[in-house]
Amino acid sequence: MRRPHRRAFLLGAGALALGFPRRVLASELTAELRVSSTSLKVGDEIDFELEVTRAGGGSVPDPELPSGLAEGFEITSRFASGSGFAFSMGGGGRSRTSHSSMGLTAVALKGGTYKLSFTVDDAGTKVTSNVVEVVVAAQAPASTEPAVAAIGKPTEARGDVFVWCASNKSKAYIGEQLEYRLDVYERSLLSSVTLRTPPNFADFYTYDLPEGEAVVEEVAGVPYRVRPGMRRALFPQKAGILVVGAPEITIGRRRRDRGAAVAIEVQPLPAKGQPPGFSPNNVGSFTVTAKIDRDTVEVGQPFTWTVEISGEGNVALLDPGPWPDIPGVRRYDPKIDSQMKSETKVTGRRTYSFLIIPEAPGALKLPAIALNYFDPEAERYAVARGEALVVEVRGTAVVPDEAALPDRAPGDASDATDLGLRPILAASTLPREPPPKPVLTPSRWGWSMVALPTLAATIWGGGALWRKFGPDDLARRRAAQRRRRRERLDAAREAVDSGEGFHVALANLLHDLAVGRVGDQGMGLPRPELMRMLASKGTPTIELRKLEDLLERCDAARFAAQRGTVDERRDMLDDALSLVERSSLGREPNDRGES
Amino acid sequence: MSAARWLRRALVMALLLTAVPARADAVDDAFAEGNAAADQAHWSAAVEAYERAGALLAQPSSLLSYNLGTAYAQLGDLGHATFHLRQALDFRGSPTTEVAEAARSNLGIVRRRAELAAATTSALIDRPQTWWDLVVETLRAPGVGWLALVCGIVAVGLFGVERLRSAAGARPTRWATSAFWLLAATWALAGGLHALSLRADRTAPRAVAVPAATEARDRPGMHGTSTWSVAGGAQVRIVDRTPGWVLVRLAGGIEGWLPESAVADLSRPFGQAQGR
Repeated sequence: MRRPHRRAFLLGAGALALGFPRRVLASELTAELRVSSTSLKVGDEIDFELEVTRAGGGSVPDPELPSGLAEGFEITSRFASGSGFAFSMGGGGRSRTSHSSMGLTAVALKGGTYKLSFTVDDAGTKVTSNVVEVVVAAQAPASTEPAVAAIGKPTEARGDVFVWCASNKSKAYIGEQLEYRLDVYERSLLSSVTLRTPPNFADFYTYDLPEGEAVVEEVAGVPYRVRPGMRRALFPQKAGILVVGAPEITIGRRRRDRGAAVAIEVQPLPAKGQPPGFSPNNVGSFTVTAKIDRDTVEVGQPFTWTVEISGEGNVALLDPGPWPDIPGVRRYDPKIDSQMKSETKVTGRRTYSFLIIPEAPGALKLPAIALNYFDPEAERYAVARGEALVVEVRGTAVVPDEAALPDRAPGDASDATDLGLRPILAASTLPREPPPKPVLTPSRWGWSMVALPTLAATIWGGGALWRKFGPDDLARRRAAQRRRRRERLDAAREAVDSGEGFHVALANLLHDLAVGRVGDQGMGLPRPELMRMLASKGTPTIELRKLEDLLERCDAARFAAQRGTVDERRDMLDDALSLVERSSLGREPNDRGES
Repeated sequence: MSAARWLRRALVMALLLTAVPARADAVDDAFAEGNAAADQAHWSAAVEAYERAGALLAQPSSLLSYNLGTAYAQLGDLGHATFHLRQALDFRGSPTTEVAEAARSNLGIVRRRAELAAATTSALIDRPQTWWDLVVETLRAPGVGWLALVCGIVAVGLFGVERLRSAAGARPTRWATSAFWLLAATWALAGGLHALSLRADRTAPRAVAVPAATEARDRPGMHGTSTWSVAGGAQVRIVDRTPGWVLVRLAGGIEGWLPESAVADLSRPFGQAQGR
């Protein structure tokens, strides 16, 4: 097939494939709304399923949300959404359907009857689904009347989740320990249960108890998972019908459940047998122990007497009553420490530590401490008694040291002597000299301390640089040689007129010149040897002769007293200068000793 | 120059000379008033007069701090007594030997009373001073700073001389090497410890808790949970500040927030410390 014909065939086939089904199936679109329940109450969940189907296949528009849904429901999730098609052959024909569906979960917010349906837009034509009537019953308002104290477990199953509150007793005495529990019963694992309104414990002193683990229980034959929400130990603080306020939980985002208020009948403590001045907080079961930190002390030496009350009950609020007077000692108010322990019940320990200073020698008797309490189990008053202790006090009685008293009365004229304080210093004038300004302030000190290692490092670095880049031994030797020649030349110049020392200085200069030319090996050699060595070093003969001539003239002047005239000496100096400045003898050898 | 002119100049000079003592008299008057009240054991009046003298003087005075601290001690105000007696020992107040001895003696008595009060009220107080505290106190002294600095200077000088001698070809002597290392070690050790003590004073200044007992909280503000209580006269270090509150640390390391008015900063000059 030729290319233009093939293209025309493909375009025609595509147009048929796209246009034909649309034209045929446009009138066969159906919409259907299904609900999980048509009767529910506020707070319950409901599932909606919206499905659009087109018989014969083809594109299917997406369904829109049902009208009226927003008035009384809140959508919490979409659980299914999708589209597809089915194709079947048989029965002498063939069928093809396309569909689009959407699933919603919603929570009923308010009561009423709702007629729900949804529409789809099929290329400008509105197609409406079936109408579903959903009846939502309004939730009965929570009762403000407190429920009768709930004890034990629930007996009636209430939906898939509910809250249950109870106390272990419905009747108690003031100060008696009760246990309050709040549990959430749930049939499915709902992780989003929160305590919206906690119970109100206005008339109770409470302690948290361990909540424990979740368990599975059956309520009227229905299995529930029981999640412990709260455990509290309650101590009623007054007589009468005391109510623990009703809690409320939130399930999910909108659904709520309210527990029952718990009423407890609290009785006053029995008057019969009640000790005078008895505190209603001393309810429970207690023991008293006493101990001392040492058996023997000196007079005036403090020791600690510790009384400990422990047991089951609200130990932190215990009233031990007045402490007994102990003659012959000075006793201070006790240091009190309470430690509570919450397990299945609240227990605790309350410690009173007395600092005692004996003032007289002998056997000091610390009386037994008695604690009156009411035992609610036995419903009678009892006494817990500690042991009496004896401390041996040594030494002699002394007048109490009032200086140690922290609560002495101020303003007493004899205070100064009693306290042992030195008296005030009554000068006629106050010194007015301004405080001396310290030379070494912390700032200056710090900078100076930092500057010292910096200076040391600079010195060290400078030395290292000098060693690296400064003159070496050869250069130093040359410099010394130049300096020495200059000095001798200056001495010779100064002695030209007088002649005194002229020849010595000139001879030394010339000898130094020769030795400098041949190096260290020329030192100490006699003159003929030195001249031979100079010759072997390549010194021109004319310079050698000139040097030898000058040296001989110097010798003649030094040893034969032939100083000559000033002009002669000036000529000698000029000759020596020409040797120093222009001859090979005056040139400095390089590192290899070459001129 | 005429006699009238000389007379005018003399009058002006007299006026100038008498201007300064006028303020000094007010200080002395308040001081004398405090002394007179103290003589009659009217300690509240004495405290009031001494405080007035301190406000007028506006410079540290060990004598005034001593008398004020002693008057507070007589009143049983152990926090303020501790603070002022400690200030009496501060060198900036130029304490004489007599004042220093009396202040140390009274401070010891006040300290014993504060410890006893803390033991009976469950409040915390810093531990008693030990030889280690004396060492730390000594390290803070300017003399240690001078010692470290002089040792460092001599060491650097010796080092420089030795380098010069070495450059000249001389070999280092044994005594010079030993002396250098000894001086350098003294510089490093004394200087390091002195620097640490100065840093501690700068970053965490010392202060004294002044009320009889103050609840320390776990965060600044009255809504913070009370965690412990500090006794009056306890020496603390201020490690942090927010407006109105300071985070203090006791010698044992326990920390808590106190109202700023409950502590008096020992590093501040007289009249500028809080808690007065």
